[in-house]
Amino acid sequence: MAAEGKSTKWGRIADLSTTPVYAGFTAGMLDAGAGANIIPGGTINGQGTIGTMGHFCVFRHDGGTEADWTEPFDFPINGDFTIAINSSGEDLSASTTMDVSVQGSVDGTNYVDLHTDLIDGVVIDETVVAGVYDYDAKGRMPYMRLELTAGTVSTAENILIHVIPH
Amino acid sequence: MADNSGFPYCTKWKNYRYPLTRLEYSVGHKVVDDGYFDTKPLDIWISDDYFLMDLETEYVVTMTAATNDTCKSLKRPSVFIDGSSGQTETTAGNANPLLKLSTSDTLTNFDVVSSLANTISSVGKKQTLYTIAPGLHFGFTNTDISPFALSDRSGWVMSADALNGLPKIMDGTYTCWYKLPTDAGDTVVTEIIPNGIANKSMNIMWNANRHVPKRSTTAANNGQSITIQGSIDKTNWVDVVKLIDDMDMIDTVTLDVQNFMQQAQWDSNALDGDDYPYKRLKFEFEASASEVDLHPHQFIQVNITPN
Repeated sequence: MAAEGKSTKWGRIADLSTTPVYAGFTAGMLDAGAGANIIPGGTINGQGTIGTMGHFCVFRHDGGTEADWTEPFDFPINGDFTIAINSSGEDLSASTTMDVSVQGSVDGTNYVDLHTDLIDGVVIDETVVAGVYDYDAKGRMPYMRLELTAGTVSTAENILIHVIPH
Repeated sequence: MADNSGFPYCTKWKNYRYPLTRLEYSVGHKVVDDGYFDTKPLDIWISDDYFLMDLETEYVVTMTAATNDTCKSLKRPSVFIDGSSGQTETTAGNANPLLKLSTSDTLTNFDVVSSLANTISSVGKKQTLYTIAPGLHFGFTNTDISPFALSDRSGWVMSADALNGLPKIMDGTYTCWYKLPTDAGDTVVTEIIPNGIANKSMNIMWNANRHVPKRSTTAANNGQSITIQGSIDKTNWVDVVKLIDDMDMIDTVTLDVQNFMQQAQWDSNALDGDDYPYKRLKFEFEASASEVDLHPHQFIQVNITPN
């Protein structure tokens, strides 16, 4: 499987607790950047929705070990931010380890690592894994995104990723 | 060793840029001479407005027939060579052509068959680009490695309306172009970084569009370093810190994009963040016995995004 974009756009609904928000997104909806036009929604409980300072996307871990990436952030980066991988702590079908890098680009096409392996080979099965991006030390660029590389093969399944600016 | 500064070695910092955009055939430029190229013309791309400095002088790409066709002659406005008027030709010999059509992008080859670039040609294929002037590029639409006869030429003159309809990107990022130093030990310094951002932490991006400069031999590497310099009087400069140390520009056939796109963060709050009233960047071709020379007049884009 080739490296490619595998996420929805970034959403910012607070209540993700009931129906798994990551459910229902198929490979065809997310592979090769197809999710660039999808904004995931949260649970609507009859009382409206609640926005949050955090941003999340649905990412499709496709079972391969190549580097894949999210859609670029559509919110400004003006300071440190926390990254949470598998932020709903889902029980995956394998003990998948994940590397997560923060990447930047001037043109939105060609990306380089701003922070390589900010999360480095950590098991994400049944676990929320978090890391903090150091804005002063690593900086920002006009376009930014996350790159995820699984170290161990798992089956294709969706996870949630959160980015919470400080 | 040459220590160079000012245009045309380096442009001023600008707070805007243009998206890398392919021009339609003979739109925004006038095709003057297209020889064999009339059926498979060159694609012309722009990403900045420096071509406005000369709208009269012809750019000419001349090909040489071989097993792998080569380019051994590029003509362009002299303003990008030495700042003068008129046209200047850059030439190279058989052994080390300016570029050689091939099936991979390397420091000597130019991939017209299976490019990994993200730019798409007018015939819908991935297209490697050559930067002939700051913010002006060309790419081949023909995908053969040996389509040309001896001295097939493609020539064009730029028009100001090439910028029509293009958005000016002003997102806080500053941009300049500099000529890669061609001989070991050479340096090029930028203009002074604008005061509004010079004392902030900043991210420095080198070669954001992942263009591949060409060198003149097949030896091992070409080491380029980037240093931030400080001054209190704009005359006497000291090295503050080396941001990128002797990066070796390696063939992209190995998908080694990191050596063609480099970034470094300058943290003004860190202990080594010596501050000065004035700052600039110095690009250095590291002197070493194993280094090889680049072809001259190859412009590379540098971007600064302040925190």
